[in-house]
Amino acid sequence: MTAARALGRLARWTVLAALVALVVPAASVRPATITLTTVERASAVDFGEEDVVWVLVLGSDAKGSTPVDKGNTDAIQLLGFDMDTGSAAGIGIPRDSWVELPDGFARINEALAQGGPELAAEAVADLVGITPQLVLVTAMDGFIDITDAVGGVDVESDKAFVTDSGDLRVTRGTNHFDGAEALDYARTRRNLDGGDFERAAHHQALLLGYLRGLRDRADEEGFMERTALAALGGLESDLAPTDLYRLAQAVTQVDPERVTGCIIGGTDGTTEGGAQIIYPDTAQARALGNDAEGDARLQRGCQAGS
Amino acid sequence: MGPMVVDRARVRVVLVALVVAFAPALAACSDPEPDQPPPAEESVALRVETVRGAGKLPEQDRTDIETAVGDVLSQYVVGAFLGDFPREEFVASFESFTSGVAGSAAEDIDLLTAATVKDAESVRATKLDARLSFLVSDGDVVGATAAVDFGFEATMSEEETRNLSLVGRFMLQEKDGTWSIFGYDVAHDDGAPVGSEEAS
Repeated sequence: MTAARALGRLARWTVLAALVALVVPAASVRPATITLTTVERASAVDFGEEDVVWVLVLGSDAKGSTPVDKGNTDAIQLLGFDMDTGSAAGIGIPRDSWVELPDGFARINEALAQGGPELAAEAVADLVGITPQLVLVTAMDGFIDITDAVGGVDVESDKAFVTDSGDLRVTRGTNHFDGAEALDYARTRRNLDGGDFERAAHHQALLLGYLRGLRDRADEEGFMERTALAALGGLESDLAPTDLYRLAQAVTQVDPERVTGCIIGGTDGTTEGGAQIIYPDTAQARALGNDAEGDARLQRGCQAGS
Repeated sequence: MGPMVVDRARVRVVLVALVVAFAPALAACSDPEPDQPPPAEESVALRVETVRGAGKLPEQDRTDIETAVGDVLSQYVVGAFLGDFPREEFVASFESFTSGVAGSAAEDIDLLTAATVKDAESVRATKLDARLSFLVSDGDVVGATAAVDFGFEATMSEEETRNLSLVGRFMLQEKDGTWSIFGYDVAHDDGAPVGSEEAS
């Protein structure tokens, strides 16, 4: 965790640590001694033996009584965290990506319902070449609950637009969303020129917003515990509560300035039945995976394989 | 999920005996050698206050957990900042750290212990406050953050003392009935002057 600590030390600052001994007798002014001392930060979090952890985050469209893992996944993000360097990488996968599943070719967003988190992880691994160690699945209600529990999320937008529902006007610059607004933003696709690709980029913008919020408030008493509790209630995962808590704490070691993200590209197509699909750029997907697998950094840009 | 219940009703002072046992004042209870320096003031005791999450726990469970977490923090504080001086050994203070973070702590030893004042004649604690926030899941405490505000006074010589501080948070987990520190994010001031000026 050397680099994370090194980053912390970049925050080194020199302070006035002591003491203005202000003794001011009636008719004189006595000098006050100011002593400068050095304050340095140190930080590290233990999240297992691997420095780089890959987590598959899925957003399921399951509603009501439908189990989370029986929905289709509108959000598919493969996230890598290097706990040693504080770097993170996000590889977004458009939900309509046409891939081979055990029952034949299908959209990748059907993998969860067909075979649970294991098949979803396998499908992503086949495409990108990275097998995630963890799979976290959330549905709409859980997503809203988690977002509200952390006080909402700030999202940077490079343009103004209205969401598909017509209920939310996203402005250029920083937008603060509560849970319902964040979901509205995350689901919007039709009103975006870039369609599914742009929506996947919005999911990364949301994740970056959560990361910034987590880091900004990590020192607030009870904040990390409240966040972990909301995650326990809103996420489906095999992780033990203690491990989810450790993961949340470990993520605070990631420096938002060291986060890189790409969306896997592709070409539009239609199935024999007329459904719209995307033929993913498999060369790009593999190249991105190769680039980021070892250090959670996308150093060669997003078009590495094209 | 709503926020956890706030409980500021109690402040527990734990491990007084352990901390004081390492304070120079206790040694002063026996007859000092004639040429020994006069005893320093006693170290303060560690104050542990639960500020979040305890309301979800039965009273006895809360007491037990506060004591257990207090023990972990006390063991660390005593090993890292108190005890006999001058001395060279500080690594033992990381015994309560998980193996995955102990190595990092060893690299950060100057920022997590009194190693920078290892030549001091004595070190005493002037402030040892820990505010605990617990994660309670299904009635079980699975983790906690200890927001710490620690202060120490190192006597370097008859003419010089240094005020050290350690402020930030330690992250703790409970596994199989044992609490351990799995993370830290702290700011350390070693009290060494890097410059001075006269102001009027």
